[in-house]
Amino acid sequence: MNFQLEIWRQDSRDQPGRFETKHVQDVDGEASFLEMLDTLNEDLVGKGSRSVAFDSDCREGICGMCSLVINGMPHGPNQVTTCQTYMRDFEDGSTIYVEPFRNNAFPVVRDLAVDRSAFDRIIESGGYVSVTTGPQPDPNSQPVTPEVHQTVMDAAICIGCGACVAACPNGAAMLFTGAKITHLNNLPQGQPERDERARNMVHQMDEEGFGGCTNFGECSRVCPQEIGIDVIGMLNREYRRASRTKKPSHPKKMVAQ
Amino acid sequence: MNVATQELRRRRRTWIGETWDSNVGKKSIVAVTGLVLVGYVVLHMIGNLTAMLGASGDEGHAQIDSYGHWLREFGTPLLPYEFFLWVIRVFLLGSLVVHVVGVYQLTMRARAARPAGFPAKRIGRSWAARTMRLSGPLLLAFIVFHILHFTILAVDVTPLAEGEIYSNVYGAFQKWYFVVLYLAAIASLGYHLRHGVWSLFQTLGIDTPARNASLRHGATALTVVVVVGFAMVPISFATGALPEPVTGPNAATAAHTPTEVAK
Repeated sequence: MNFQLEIWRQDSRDQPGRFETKHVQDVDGEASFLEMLDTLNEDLVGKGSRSVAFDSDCREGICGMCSLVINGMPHGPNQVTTCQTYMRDFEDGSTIYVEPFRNNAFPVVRDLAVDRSAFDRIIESGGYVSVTTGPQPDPNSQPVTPEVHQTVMDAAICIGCGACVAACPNGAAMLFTGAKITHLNNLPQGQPERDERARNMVHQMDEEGFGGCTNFGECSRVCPQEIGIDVIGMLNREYRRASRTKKPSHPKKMVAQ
Repeated sequence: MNVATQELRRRRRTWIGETWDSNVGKKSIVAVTGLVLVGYVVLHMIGNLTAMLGASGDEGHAQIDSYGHWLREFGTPLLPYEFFLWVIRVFLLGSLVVHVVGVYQLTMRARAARPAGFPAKRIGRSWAARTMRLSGPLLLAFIVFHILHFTILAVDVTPLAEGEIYSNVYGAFQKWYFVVLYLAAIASLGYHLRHGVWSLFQTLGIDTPARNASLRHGATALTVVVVVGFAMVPISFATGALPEPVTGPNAATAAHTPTEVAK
């Protein structure tokens, strides 16, 4: 198969980017999109020009490292990660537009690689639980019902790829953050920081410069893990609860005289 | 910014201030004010439907004129004349201002979050959802016009008189362009509600997978009811289904002759 690629090239964060036309010939239909880019890069390096920078790691759809927008769709046409997108899904001889994830909170590092550490900082602000040290707790001392377990696992499956942010017309990170809050706030282990988690993660989202949700649901339609927008409802619920809960304050010291 | 300062800055605020500052909170305030406006829209529609009772439903007066009068003297003599009406007007204006300012700020933040690039493919967005930021400003412009037209009586293309609601409306809807304008406004209201009513439940965290279908269908049903209820009035006047206004000394004799619609 032959393709014409319109690839986003950008030398560094500060420099403006542009689309560059590349041609790939004799691509195997069974090659993944990333393998196709690998062959393109080998070609480029062979010719002595700079290879196209892009992120990838596990190449089996679980790490969330790939960050391409293909023909305007984050990860490509099939609601799976880019590494699980195969060239047979594209029409032979067609032009394919390849871009990085677009969001000002995800600055482009080079070409197709973006800096998603905004997500890391959201996790840092609330994605942890208190663990008591000391003797091992009794088994089943913190029961989790199958229903809660299912809800939590459906959210915890998030791989943090950022496709939701790339798809969102408002550049919101609600699906990602909602998944984290649904994951931790439903579990007994997550209860001590429940309100602080919701508040801190929401504020961190704002500080990173993500936009606000308008309930279009496009995030959910590109999510390779098929996380539903019910996690956004959960986030809204938890934040509303948290913002109205009085913050625990240290009582004044009593004096006798 | 270090973590301690950040914490201090976050903690200092009152809950309403903190809510207004965050995207998620601002959206919930927009949702609550939206709910207030939707509630008013439904009441307004029901009030409008009294026009369907004809020109002489209430002892020679049009039912809608009596309704308008009732609204003004509600609570008298305990409350001053029009007091109740002004309480509602101020409350609605406040809600509208908060709603519009909130949406404007959210839109600006959303724009700032997304750089321009190759136009992304838009997937599965309903027409109503996509046009929220178009139907909203259109509605705002219409509300201004509508108040100038029938409340302040400033757009006197057709004869307008204080308190003569039925004849004011009748006169206006004899002109095709007013009918078209009002129907267009009703259409944008329909689109705005179609997405907005469901969206406010999601924003307030009330929607869950179990309630999703009923909330979505409920929003659509409410939209249909509101659109049909509003559209009935201009269409009935324009097509002549409602009689001409009864004015002057003939009013008493014309009383107690129910119209087609009133039956």
